Amino acid sequence: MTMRVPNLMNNSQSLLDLQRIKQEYAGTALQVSSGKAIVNLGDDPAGTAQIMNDQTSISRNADYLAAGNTAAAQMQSSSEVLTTMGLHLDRLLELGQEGLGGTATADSQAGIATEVDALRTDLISLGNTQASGKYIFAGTKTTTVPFVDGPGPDATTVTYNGNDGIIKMELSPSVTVATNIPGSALFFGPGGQGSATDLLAQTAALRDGLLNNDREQVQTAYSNLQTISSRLNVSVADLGDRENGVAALDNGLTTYNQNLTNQQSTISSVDYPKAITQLNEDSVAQQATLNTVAKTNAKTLFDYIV
Amino acid sequence: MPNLTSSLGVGLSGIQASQEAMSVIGHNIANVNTPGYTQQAAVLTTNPSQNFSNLQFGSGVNVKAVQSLRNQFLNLQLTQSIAGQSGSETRYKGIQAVAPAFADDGTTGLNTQMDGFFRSLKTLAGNPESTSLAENVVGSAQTMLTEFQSTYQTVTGQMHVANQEVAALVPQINTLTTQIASLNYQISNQVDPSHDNDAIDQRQALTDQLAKLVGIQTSTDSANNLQITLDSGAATLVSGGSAYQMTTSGNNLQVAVTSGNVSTDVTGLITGGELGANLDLRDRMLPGYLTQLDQVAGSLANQVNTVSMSGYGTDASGKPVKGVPMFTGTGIDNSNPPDANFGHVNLKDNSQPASASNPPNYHGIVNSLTVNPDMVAAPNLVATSCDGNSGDNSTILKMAGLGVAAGTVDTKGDGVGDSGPFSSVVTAMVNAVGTQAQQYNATATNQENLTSALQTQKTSESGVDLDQEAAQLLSFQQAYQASAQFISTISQLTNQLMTTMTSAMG
Repeated sequence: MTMRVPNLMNNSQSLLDLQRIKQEYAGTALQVSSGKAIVNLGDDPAGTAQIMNDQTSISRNADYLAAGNTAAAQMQSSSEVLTTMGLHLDRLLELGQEGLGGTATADSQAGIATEVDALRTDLISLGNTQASGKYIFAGTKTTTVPFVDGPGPDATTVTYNGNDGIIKMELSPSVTVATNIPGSALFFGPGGQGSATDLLAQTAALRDGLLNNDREQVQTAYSNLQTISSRLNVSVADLGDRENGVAALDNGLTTYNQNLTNQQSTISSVDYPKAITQLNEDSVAQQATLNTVAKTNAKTLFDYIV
Repeated sequence: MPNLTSSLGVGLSGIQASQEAMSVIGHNIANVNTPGYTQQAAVLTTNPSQNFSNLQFGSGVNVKAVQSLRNQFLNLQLTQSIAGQSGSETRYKGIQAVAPAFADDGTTGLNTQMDGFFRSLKTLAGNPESTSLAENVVGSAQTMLTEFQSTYQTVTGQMHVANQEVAALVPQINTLTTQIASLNYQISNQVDPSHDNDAIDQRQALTDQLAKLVGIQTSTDSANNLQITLDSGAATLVSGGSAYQMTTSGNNLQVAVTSGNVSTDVTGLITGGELGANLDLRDRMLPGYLTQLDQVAGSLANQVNTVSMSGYGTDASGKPVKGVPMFTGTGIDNSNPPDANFGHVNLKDNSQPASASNPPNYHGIVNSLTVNPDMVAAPNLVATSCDGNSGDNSTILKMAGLGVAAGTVDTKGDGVGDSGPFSSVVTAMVNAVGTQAQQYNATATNQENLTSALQTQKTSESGVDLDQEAAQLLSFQQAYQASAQFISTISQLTNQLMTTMTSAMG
């Protein structure tokens, strides 16, 4: 069967084809100029959703990285104080040993006691350390001076104005890390204030034992300080573990985010060689269609009727 | 035996028939580019023969009819395809107009701004004593609301555009139906209603234009009247020589068709064409996006407020104060009479927080949402702690945790979070917008292909082919010349006979 091909038929079909080629050309050109593979939501809804999901994950991971950095900075402040406290404790134990030595005189004992008292004052100052404007050993009462020494010289008691609050940061939906050590736990230990585990109380006891030449008191305080020193080492190790954990999470999240970014880029960025090839193909198709339209409608039988 | 005079009549009939046929060809050529024009052809038939001495002698030719090569079934398909195509194209354009507002490039977009808000909460959790970080929370909350409201306004703006389109389309539809009814009257009053070709073509062209504007069904009665009803069959637009006018009323234009004193509301009963698509966009598709925006923003505000009010912020002197709502806003109870099953969520004082016992009506809440002005004036009111201690960040952490929590978005309006996290719901919404755009683009392209194929078939069957017209013109030109030559010959014979007779008589 022969199909009739009236003149309008050629024109309308060719015009439709031309419009589609131009539309595709414009779309590809937009991809090339913007560098994006998905220019309109309707181009690739699934790809768009994937990009958004990746973006959300990247953003959340960045938040967790930032939280990790904040936590690490806060723990670093605590860690530095704990190191100094360790040195002070070492010195206290040295002084205790000196006090227990057989050669110590009343005068030398008093001199040692003076240094012990100075160390005690330093320890209280360390307990009142501020970082970024807040007291890091006050529990959650971070704007309150946590340790206030008792009145007068050779005070034996301190007042703790902080609390036992733990400050936590979220490092993932299921992982939290405590960024502080409450002063009560660090300085008073599990036995609480005034007990054998109380660093400040035992330091005062050592000082008073030396002042009073009470060898037994010095011995007891010395032994308790040894135990406290061991506990402090455990705290330092615990804080170190937490810092290492944050650093490991940091590395993991950074790598994961890099992978997500690469994946996102694969979907969202235009494939330039492919796009430019497509542009060339569309250009050739447009030229060919234009030539065809021009030639198809160039002549009719009327041109040959004289 | 026919005499010379009757032979002249035979020749004359040939000239007349050729002339009439060439006139038809001329009409075809003149209308080669006329939309909807159907190629016409002169139908020639021999004149009745004459009996002379028991012999039948032909008496020439005449044009019996001028016929169009029309395929009614094809026209019916084409009309429906045009309505489907324009409906899909209009829906696609409507979605495409709002799609950029939903796009998220990591710098702008709902998810980006929600992420920014929850990030500000997490950052504050790292330093809950910080006034500047609390200010950052307030700023991020405002930016997030601005993004919601901007998206919301884009959608409502497009609904307004659709409404204006409805207003513009109805008069055009009425004009077309009136013209079609007039042509119906003209065609049906012809002696032979099936042969008023040009009027039938005009009517078909107008019907195709009408189908582009509104989804219709057509049928033809015995008097060749074109009957037109809405595609749902809900109302008649044209019956015989009568056109039934469409009317609009109200701000959110309701469309009715009036027949006599009876007015039928057809607002939700038109599927195809630009009118059906614009009504669908205005009343169903775009409001669907608004509902989802209301649900996400309303749920977010409600959830954040609930956590905020369970904690403590601080006043200007740093003294702990009970948490206040972070967001204020009210839903619009647009049911009339008010629906007893829906509470009127008032986030301002949280006197009626959304809950299972007080199901929320978040309709329109995006537009009314603001950050609590008290908190804007005093950002330290942002609740960070559960006990009033400056360093406690448990409340702000809980608030930040809402960003990744499931079951935070109430999509069923029953006061219970059933979907989430917020970002997943927004991503699904954006995906739905993109999928709908893709779907209607594909449908429009398919319908365009179908329309093009049907149009091609129609043109192939009924269009004017200039080569064919030229060939026929040559053919009838030669026939005309031959008939003229025949008449000339008969004339010469008659003259010769007359001369001979004159000489004989002289």
